[in-house]
Amino acid sequence: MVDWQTVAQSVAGGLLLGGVYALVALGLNLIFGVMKVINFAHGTFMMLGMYASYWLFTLYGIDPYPGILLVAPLFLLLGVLVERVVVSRILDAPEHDQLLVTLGVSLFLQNLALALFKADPRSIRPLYADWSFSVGGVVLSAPRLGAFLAALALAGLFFWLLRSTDLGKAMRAAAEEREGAILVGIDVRLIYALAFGIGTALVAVAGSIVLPFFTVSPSVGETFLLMAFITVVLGGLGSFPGALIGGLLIGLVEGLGALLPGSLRQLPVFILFVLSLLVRPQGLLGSRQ
Amino acid sequence: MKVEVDPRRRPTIIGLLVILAILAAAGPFLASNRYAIQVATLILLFAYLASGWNILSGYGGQFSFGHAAFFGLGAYTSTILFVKFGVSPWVGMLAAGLVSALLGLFIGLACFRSGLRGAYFALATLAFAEILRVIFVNWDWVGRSQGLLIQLVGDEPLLFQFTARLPYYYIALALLALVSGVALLLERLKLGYELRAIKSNEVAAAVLGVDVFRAKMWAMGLSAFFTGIGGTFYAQYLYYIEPFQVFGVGMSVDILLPAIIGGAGTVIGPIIGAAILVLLGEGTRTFFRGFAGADLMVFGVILVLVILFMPYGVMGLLGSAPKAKKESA
Amino acid sequence: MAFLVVEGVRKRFGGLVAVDDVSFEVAAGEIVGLIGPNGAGKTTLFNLISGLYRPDGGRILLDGRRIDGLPPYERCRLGLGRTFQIVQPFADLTTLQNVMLGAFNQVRSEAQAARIGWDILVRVGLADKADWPAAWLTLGDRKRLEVARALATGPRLLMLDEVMAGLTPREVDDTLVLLRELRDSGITLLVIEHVMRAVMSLCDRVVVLHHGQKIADGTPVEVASFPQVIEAYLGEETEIA
Repeated sequence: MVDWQTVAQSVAGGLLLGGVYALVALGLNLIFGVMKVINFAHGTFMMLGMYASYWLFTLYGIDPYPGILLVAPLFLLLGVLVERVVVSRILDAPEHDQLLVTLGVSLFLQNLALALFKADPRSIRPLYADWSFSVGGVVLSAPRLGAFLAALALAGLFFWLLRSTDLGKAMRAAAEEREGAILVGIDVRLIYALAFGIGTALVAVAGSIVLPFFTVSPSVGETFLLMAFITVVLGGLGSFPGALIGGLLIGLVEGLGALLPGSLRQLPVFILFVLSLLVRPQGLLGSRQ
Repeated sequence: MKVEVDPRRRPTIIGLLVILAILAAAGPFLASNRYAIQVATLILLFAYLASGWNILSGYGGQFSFGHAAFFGLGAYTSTILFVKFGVSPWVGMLAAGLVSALLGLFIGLACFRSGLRGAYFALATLAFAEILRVIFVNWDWVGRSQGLLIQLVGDEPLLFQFTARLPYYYIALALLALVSGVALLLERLKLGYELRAIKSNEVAAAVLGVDVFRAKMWAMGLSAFFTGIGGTFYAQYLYYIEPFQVFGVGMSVDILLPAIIGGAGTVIGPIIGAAILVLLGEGTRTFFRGFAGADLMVFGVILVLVILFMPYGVMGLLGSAPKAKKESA
Repeated sequence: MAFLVVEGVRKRFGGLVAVDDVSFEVAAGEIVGLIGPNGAGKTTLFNLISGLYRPDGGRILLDGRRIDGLPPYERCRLGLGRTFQIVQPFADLTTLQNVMLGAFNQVRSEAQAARIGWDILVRVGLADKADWPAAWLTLGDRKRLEVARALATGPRLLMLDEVMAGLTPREVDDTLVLLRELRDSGITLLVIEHVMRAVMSLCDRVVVLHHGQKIADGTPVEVASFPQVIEAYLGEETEIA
């Protein structure tokens, strides 16, 4: 029998990771919301972000957190590049073509990582790897807690960006009414490039903050993409608050699942996903047409 | 009435028959080179799988990124029946198709009823394949991540095993002919019209009397059925299956790529696509020996290029695509 | 009992009330026009009647039978046909095949559907382009295909959403002839139109919507002189084609 202490421990750990899932889902929602494109390479960018942080740490001793200052701009650029070269050409294409293109990008990048870095899982041990905080009898590991707080901070930053800055308003305008936005003088192409870039940077940074407690391998992006997708389904398609709640919920359920042996850990999440589809397809905060 | 319903139909039938005839005749010649016939069989298998995928995704427009779920389930179904219960894999093959079809209907129920479409549907299918992988990796009875081995019994046609490679080639060819025939038939049936309408514009189809849910379910069931059977063939051909291989994203991608490259929604497209991709894959693997993933990198680039510059695939270049006329207003 | 009865129908999207307690009837064999400034709720009303939206309140009856809970395809099978403002033929199919899809509502086999489809193409004047990929058609032809597709389902009530928009005056005249023929063959018509000259000459009655509410219901001549109607259109650009 498992005691409540262990359960609480697992749940807490899961919730903390859930914050990261929410962040990844937010990035996905941003790109989808503004450009109506589901970015299959989203998870791949996270994986690359993890590798970037890994090499920064291993080769130059830069911790992932300060490393964000390097990773974020790098991936903003990468995202903009991918958008300009590939994604912008299929904005008006049928949705299945958009899917396939981003799948192609994902295939290419993921296997590039495989070719360059090989399949062996890698991890880092930063200074604070073993630190922990006791909160109400539950022990929270520093790396997880840090990731959670950073995810919250970034989500907050993201919301501030959307609500209060001109760029954010332009993005919302372009998302809602593209023709109107163009007429009002908004450079929609630039907005799209930036939206993609920011979404990519966000998810790469999510990779950075997750690295201290998560091993990286070329296929780790798939896992996160799947979790982000399940988060979005659970929270409601297109709903930003839904992404947050969904992420925490997924994290919680996964935390509970961690009490199960082996990699069955993921199973409760999957069951929740299927149930969600069957019982409440529009998600918690989504609306049914 | 003096007009053909679809002028592309006759060339398609002729083209298909010619291709099948050439493949049938080529068998004995290929058999003299072990490598050649293995590559050829692989081409036939993926042409078959891509054609099965095509029913749901090419014709119906519901892009599945998780067909490995049906493939793997089919492979495991027949293998379990044979290895644990001694059931002939021929019977097992049918069972595999049916079990996969049931899974397909379940997934369809979960997804189509909730109106999941486009990318969300694709991701959902991906999730289902992952779910199955996780289940099988953790299931003792089916060997967990070690998978299942099929014992070699030598030349036993009734048990779907042959020492020579040629019989497998012809079985794969027969399967390909079967699914291609189904596709041809589908194009003439009401369901085929409904699917293509749904692919173009679901709402317009609904308003024109199409029961969209029902049509999608049919497509899903058929597609899953054929894919499951393909899984059985794979298991019997390689004598070994394990979850990461048969349920993995890589397999789902390998199943859909030939249809996209060759031309989704066409009968011959998947065949051409399979030939291109298998040969390209072999070539890349040989050329970039030691670089794991090099072939998939190439596939990724090709996929992007194809969608950007020839979104209707090779068949589109050959005139099968609904391009806009240059003189149209 | 009128053929189509719309009774107290309401629809809101979040804070916006798109259709506000609208009621009207269409008698069998009538041609009724549904007009109003942009954003009045006409297309929303069409979507409600054809089943793409579920009403928040009210009832819709077709030939005495309540249809507001039925999915679109069932309404079609009961005799309700509908075209869209933004025409989009099924690009993977030929012109004939597009129409055949509609015909499959009436028959089972491809051959039978092709026969029905062909007859309709002849009727709307697209027979010479029957084996063209539908994507090759001009806008005017696509509009005719849109009507042909809906016709092929064997409708008793045909709802046309701005079928004249973007057509040349000559094409408008041809369409008017076609629509009158349809009515003569027993089909009831409900049309959304901005081309006023078409509305005036074609419709037996006109229903006017404004901000989601019905503000007038009568013959074209009567309605044209209602002060509310004139006011609603002031500042609105209407095509006096």
